[in-house]
Amino acid sequence: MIQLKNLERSYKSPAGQFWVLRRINLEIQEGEFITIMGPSGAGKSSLLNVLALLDDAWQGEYWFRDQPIHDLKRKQRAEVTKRNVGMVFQSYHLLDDLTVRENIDLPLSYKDIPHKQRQGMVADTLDRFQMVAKKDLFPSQLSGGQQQLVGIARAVIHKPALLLADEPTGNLHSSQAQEIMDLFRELNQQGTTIVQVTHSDANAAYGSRTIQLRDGWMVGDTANPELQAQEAVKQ
Amino acid sequence: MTGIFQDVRYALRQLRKNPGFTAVAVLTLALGIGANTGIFTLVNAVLLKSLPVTKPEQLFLVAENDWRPASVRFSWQTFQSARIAVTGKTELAAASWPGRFYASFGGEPEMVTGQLVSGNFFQALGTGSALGRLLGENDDRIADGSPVAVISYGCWQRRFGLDRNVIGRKLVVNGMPLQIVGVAGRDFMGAQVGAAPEFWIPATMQASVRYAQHYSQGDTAKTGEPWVTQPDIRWLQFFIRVTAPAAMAQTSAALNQVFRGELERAAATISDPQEREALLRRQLRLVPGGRGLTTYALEDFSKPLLALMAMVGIILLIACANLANLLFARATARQREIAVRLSLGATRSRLVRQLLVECVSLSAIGTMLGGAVAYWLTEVLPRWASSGTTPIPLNLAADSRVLLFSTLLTVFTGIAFGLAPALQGTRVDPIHGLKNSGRMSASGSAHRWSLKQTLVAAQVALSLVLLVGTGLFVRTLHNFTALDPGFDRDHLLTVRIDTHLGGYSQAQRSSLYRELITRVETLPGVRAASLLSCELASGCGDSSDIYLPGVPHPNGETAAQERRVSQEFFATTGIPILRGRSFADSDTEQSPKVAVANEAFVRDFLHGKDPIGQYYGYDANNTHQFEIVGLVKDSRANDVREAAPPTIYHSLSQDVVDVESLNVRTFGDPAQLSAQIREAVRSIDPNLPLGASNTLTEVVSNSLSQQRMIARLTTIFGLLAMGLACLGLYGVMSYTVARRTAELGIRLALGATRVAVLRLVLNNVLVVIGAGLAAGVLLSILSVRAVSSLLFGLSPYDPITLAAAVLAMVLVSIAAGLKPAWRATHVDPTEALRVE
Repeated sequence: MIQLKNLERSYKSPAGQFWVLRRINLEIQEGEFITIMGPSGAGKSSLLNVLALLDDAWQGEYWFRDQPIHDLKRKQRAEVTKRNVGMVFQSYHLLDDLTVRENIDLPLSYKDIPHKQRQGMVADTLDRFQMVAKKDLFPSQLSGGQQQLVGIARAVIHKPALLLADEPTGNLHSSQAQEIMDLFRELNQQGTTIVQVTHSDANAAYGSRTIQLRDGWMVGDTANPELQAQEAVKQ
Repeated sequence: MTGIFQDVRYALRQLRKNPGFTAVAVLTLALGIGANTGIFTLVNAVLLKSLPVTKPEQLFLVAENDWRPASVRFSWQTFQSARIAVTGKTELAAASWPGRFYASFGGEPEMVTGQLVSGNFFQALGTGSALGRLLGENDDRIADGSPVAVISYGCWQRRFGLDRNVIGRKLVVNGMPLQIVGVAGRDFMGAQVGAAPEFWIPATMQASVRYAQHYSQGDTAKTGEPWVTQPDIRWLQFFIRVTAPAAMAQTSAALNQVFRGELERAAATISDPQEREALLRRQLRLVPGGRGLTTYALEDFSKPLLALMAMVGIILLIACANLANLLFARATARQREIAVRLSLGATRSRLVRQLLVECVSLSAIGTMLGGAVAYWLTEVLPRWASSGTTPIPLNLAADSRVLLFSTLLTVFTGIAFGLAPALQGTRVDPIHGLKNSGRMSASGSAHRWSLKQTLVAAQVALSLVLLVGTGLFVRTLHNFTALDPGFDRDHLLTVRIDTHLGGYSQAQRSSLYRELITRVETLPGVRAASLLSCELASGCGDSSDIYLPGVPHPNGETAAQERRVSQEFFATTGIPILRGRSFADSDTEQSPKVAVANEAFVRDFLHGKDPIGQYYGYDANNTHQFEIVGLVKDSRANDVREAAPPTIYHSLSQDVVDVESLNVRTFGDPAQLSAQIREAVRSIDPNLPLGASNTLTEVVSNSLSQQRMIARLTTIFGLLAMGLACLGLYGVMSYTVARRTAELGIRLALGATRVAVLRLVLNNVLVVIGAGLAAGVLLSILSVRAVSSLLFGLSPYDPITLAAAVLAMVLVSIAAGLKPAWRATHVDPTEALRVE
């Protein structure tokens, strides 16, 4: 599904070039549930942003379903994201002034989908996430877990092939976190490829593969024991 | 389309959730858009609106050489000949200039406006009746043979309460009973914009109702006899409907052929070859008349109106700059929302659209509330601008042009203040926006700050332009008010009487005048009384070409104003006699004709020669008709706004014409004697048409109504602009201080004194104000020329006004910046660093 070849990301600072991702080579297969782990500043979120195409100032190659993203223009990249990617954020990022229903509808409103069809899709999603009774509530009227549920519903309503989650349970207590992770597993089982960033080993356990990052380098990949061995040798 | 509705719904929700911002924005917009809509409604009514008639584009007026249609008059006989000459797809109608009549609608008679028209007037104009019938062809066949009248809708409403039984009721005009046969259409206020006749009478009734306004000179015009039989009395204007464009040339040729005949007949009586040649060069032309004729009062009104339109345009610009700044500040707070939307697939253009919908929704609400401001302006301006007690009559009904203007204004205003913030607000890096989650971002702040500074400086600059305008107009009004009009306006009462409307014979007038003066002068508290053919300081004037012995007579350059006054006129009005004498008992109809000249007459025509004993006349062959026996000081007797023209005063005892005004000088407050004086006049002849009585101070004040209106409004607008600019400055300063809290905290923690911090922040204000003032001074200098014709007694570049405006702006701006600056000096370093 995704191939990253020698992908690098850096920022210019007065002190010189500051690297956040170094020579990342990564292949993600359809249907995988990948967890990205590592200490703070390792580049986890940066990698997620690159995968989400929110960041486009990287170098290297990025292939998405055999499409060379690195050769696409900004608008074309946005189009790829719009069609294929859903994002779940640690702090939910629901819009306070929109109701649950409107928040879920938001990604659809940015696509050329007829109003009636959109209504149907929103109704299905509300049903699927058991939030019909809460559809007219505003985010401030929901608990953290419920808000994240809305965030996930919003991320998956357009049936993205790739779901990216940045510390999705970071602001939740453990029982709510478990519910969310169960939901991720269910979505993954239904065919959605998931990439999550987390510090939690419990959450990582839900995934099928774990990638370790440190100082921008990919230092571990459970699907690639060789990489771990190389790193061990280096150390 | 669904997307737009969704944007509107979301926009309204946003506005509801931010009541403070919404209130400020809506109020600002209501004032800005309302003022623009109000002034435009008036501009539309005065300058743009077509008459409410069928196909107004088919209507034409008749102009002559360089004269505008409003200055051209024809006789009834010319009308009859022209009507026969223009045939085919053309309808020619005639109407008098709306005149003053002493009319009774069933109660006490009063002075009202009426108009005499040809029978086909309404048909040619293409307007229908609201009730009954309009005048028809049969109504103007016989002189004084059709005593009927059509009243206006307004008259029907005000005086008859829309009573449908008004048809057949009696209307007495200058003593002539007329039968009301119909009511004109609701919106039809006549063909002269700014003069709304209460009724229309067949032109052939001229003698019966004693209509008196004409453009005739010379002995051949017998104004005391019916005018419809006299070719030398020119009193009618033509309105022509040409239904086929091809008929235009033919109509124009036919009219000119008739006119040529008139000119040749008149030329035959002129001995001066130059004058004769000039007469024969005159030609008629058709000019579009769909908007009707414009009255002089309205022409006076239109100039300040255009200046006001420019002012309210500037106010709206200032308001837009203010709102743009508010939106820039809000954009920072909305970074997270924008970032989320971008990360969910929204394109930038889609987000810009959404933000613009919010702005246009704001301006739409502003427009709705601005309706009240617009209504207020359309109510007060015609009243403030009117020199009389009634407002200038205008058809202010909203038409498609006003609706279009207000819609476009709403949309453009929304875009004007929303576009830049929307473009900048959507230039968000989603990663950054999501990370900061609503915290104030430092990225791009330098750029935003610079744009904000520019906007505030622009506000200061534009406000300064308005303040300079305010200063110029206020000083103009002051100059007019403080001006010595040449007569003593204190303790002077003027009572409007009109002997012409009363229909007195010459013999009756002589005794009436004597009796009036005697009776009024015997009233306790009265010092002197006099009668005038032309009311003082009311714009009334009567000019004639003067011939002086031995002085060349360049055509049209020896026109002097003439006033017929009774013996005590100079004593009553306090116009000083500089040389010679005033009129005396010995000046009678039988004695040699004498006149009193003013200084301007001597300066312009006698070139400083001693006027006493000089002669003049109306004819090159008779230059010894009048002897000048006195010289009086110049006075602004016509209009206090105009310098005294060369003027000749005649004795009313020698030329017993009709009078318009009775002036009474009193010992005490003249207003308190008003009722007694009116009673005395009534006791002499209860039928003498009696109008309003005012003190001369009021008359002078009323004649400055236009100047007062513009001074009042520019003051309101100037203060509003200054207030908006200060609000903008305050907002930006508060925002800046809030953004720099940490920096200021660090400075204070490192030992900076409060004075140093205050200076740091105030420097910021001074830079903005300085830039704004520099631009404002330049703009003022460039723009004030446009209003120079509305100023009096000062240069458009008046340094005092400019300096006062700059000083006011500096003081008020610093005051606006002081509070945020003070707040900056009281930043708690520990708190500030915690924020960081």
